[in-house]
Amino acid sequence: MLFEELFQKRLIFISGKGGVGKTTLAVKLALEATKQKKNTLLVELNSSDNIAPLFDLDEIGHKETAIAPYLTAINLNPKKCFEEYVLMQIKFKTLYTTFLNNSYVNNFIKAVPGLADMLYLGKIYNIEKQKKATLSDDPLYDLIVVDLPATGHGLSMLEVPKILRSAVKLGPLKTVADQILDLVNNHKKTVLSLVTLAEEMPVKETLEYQQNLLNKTSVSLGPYFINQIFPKVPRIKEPSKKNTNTELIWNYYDLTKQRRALQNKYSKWLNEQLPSAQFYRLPFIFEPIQSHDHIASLKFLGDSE
Amino acid sequence: MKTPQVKIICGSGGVGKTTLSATLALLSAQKGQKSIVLTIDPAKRLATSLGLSELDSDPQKISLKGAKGEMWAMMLDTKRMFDRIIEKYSPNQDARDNILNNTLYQHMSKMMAGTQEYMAMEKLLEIYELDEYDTIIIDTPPMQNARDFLAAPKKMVDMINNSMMHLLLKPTLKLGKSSFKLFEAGSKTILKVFDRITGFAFLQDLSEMFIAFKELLQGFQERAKQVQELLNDPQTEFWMVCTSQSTSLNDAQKFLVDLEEQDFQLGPVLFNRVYEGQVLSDSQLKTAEAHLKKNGVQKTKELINTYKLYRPCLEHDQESLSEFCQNNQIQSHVRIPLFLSDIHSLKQLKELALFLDDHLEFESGL
Repeated sequence: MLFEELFQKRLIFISGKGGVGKTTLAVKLALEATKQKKNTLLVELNSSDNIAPLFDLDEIGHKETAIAPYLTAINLNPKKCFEEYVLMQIKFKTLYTTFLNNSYVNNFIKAVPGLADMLYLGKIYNIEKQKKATLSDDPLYDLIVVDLPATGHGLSMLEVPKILRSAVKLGPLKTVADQILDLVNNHKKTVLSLVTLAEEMPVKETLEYQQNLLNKTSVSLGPYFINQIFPKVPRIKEPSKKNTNTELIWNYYDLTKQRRALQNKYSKWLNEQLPSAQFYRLPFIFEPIQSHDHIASLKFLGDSE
Repeated sequence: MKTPQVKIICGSGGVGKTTLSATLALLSAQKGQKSIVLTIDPAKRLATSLGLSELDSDPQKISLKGAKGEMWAMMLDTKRMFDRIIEKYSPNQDARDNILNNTLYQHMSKMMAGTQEYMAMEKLLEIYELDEYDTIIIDTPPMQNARDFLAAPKKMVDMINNSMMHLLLKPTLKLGKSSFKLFEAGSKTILKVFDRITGFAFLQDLSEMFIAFKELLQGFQERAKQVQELLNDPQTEFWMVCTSQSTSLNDAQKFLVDLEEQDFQLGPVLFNRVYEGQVLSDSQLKTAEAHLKKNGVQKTKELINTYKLYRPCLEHDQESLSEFCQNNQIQSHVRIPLFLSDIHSLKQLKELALFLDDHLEFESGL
């Protein structure tokens, strides 16, 4: 079975350089998990609802929404996370209403360093703990896939609970930080997978990211995904004579050949730099991706492809 | 003395902003100007392509053979810049030390929403005021919403100045929780809630940090005004970079709306990694195949099929980009094709600069 080990986890974070296809990969993994009949939750973090259109929806928003068989999605909103958190901390309904009805909330979330990130992680922690039914031990979701922000923000988000724990000696925030760290650093439950392209800059950024994650967090790193691999083309000898149309054809043949050669070089380099890592490769998609069916139909490449 | 030209390069993550920023600085240098590129990302990657071992927060000269002008590059160090600003705007040493020694400030100031954007603006202004460069190119942090970036300085002021913070700005919090009784009923409730959700110790640290910031408020306010002026200066242009991906175009569209609302000047739009070329029909391909065969080419079927793969890309890029230009009344744009290789060396940057020079009506400002 595909991703047998990966899907044993409870929580998969997806991150990588901007524009490498993090969301597509998050959706792909979630769809693979549903094929194995795993109840899966796909989490976006306050994005412009990128997943919704793939499932023919206008928006998903901050609500666990069933979007396909075995698949639920949510787009976390920091303010809503905050409200939920406040509600958990404060039992007096009146106090809660007075508080949330004033305009301080948004300012507070923005002004407190790292608070939005803590709220996301806290919400994910609570989702992970949800059970199927009140007396059941079975979790509501078998697998949670989180589409994290790109490199810089992704890293600082995972750093926040640790920093907060050392900056704040006691109090509720420290308790939350402890809980989050217990989940995020639990190597049996949680894994972070990076997506990259096999090009110079993305590969370098991936290696830097990997080093920073090792040095600054204790999260376990899972398989790497190399996206947009160009197809193999046969060697064809070019004639000296070309017309406008055949020239265009040759241009795209050359592009494919050269890009593919570069990708081989950088895939190999990444492999050498991360000798114990596992890699999965996805092909370059020529038609713009418009639906989840399209993503579901993508096939990971075999070693010889 | 002439005023420097400022080009602010913006767009969503991964569209090639950093590379294009460096290329534009290179082009200016080749035209005889003294240019500087300021990048935001931990820019080790850019450093290598510029032939440097590392970029840091001091400007470094890039060695360019045969260029008429000079190219400089530097990277923004958010935390260091923040410290510098604190030092600069603190009315006295106590005020300065109060912030620099605050636990929350030390650990988390760079995680405060908008800090990176604000520091980028500050740095830009600093370089601008040096009056040493003809052209300043600034590579912005990836953003979903341009408003965040453009409004960063004002937001910083608002944050310190807003009513919620005024609560935290009461020095009485120093006295401990018992100080709550000194507040009026409404404020007391809010403080109690904050206490419950963050803990009093945290609240105290936060309060101290903002009390300390308050001393700097005047400095921040004046600065925010200057930044606004610089952004509205006729010599300042916003250059947008995007790809033909729908998410990138959507972000770009939102950005254009923001720019227009605030009366900022839009420079050329750079469409990056575009699939260029005619969409050949099946019959045209048949003719082409015959022509290829006639010239002794083997495996013509595979060759044609490779081209055929790209037809949806060519079609999509043609349609979506012209639609974008039409809908947004884009005056000036460049389509930068996907090159045979990615760009990561000075030599390649030079080739890209050459391409841009050919396709851009470069206003040298000289």
